[in-house]
Amino acid sequence: MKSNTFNYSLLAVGIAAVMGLSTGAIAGEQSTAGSASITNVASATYFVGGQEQKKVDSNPVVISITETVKFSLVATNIDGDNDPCCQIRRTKLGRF
Amino acid sequence: MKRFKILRNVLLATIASSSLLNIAHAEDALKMELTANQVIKNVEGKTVYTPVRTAPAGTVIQYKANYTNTVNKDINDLMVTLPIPANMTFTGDAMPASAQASTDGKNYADMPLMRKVDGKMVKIPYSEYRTLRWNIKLLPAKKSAAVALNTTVN
Repeated sequence: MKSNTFNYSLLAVGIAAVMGLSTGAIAGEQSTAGSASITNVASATYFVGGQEQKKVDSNPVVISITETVKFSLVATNIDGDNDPCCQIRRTKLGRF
Repeated sequence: MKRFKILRNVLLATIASSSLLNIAHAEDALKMELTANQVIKNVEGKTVYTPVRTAPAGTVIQYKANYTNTVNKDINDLMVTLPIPANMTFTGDAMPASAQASTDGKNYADMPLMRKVDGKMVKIPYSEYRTLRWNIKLLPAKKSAAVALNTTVN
């Protein structure tokens, strides 16, 4: 008689490991280049009939922040002789 | 006999879990929902709030906590705490304005927060505010209310 060598415990452990890994991947911050996630949760304490109740948390709210870089290039060097960046004036004899 | 044991265990587990769920429901006298909305001024100068999930730096976002008394008894001394997340700066707008603020999440004081610098009392910048708190003395049975604060994305 052929014995059943299939190990159900091993299968259960395998499935749990895979689910754990996938869940962890979802729970982790989605960190693509130039974006970040901000999570916020409100909380409250209160009394009913003079009895303090268990602290209540709200649902978490997640906002993805996109980092946009804004810059502009302004040409201030009209004649090409001076370097406006470093405030260095050039003369025929050199710099001063 | 073995099947009977399995059936018994399943029944016990079902009863235990349903009992736990009932207890959890009984404790939830307060329900709180947090929402985030982008604050926009339209062409008429009116402030409009639109739901937001993605925002660039500079966006003004309002966090609003709606809380509801779900039981037939009054709720007293309700303390609602709303954090100001990292990478966000409080704008100074809190609704209701009676909120207290904290820079460490432990010590609260009325706004504006002050501190002594060189013997003089100066205002603490909003960028250092980390948490706001509202103390609501009474929330009647089956009633709802809300608190909110505005932040800017850094």
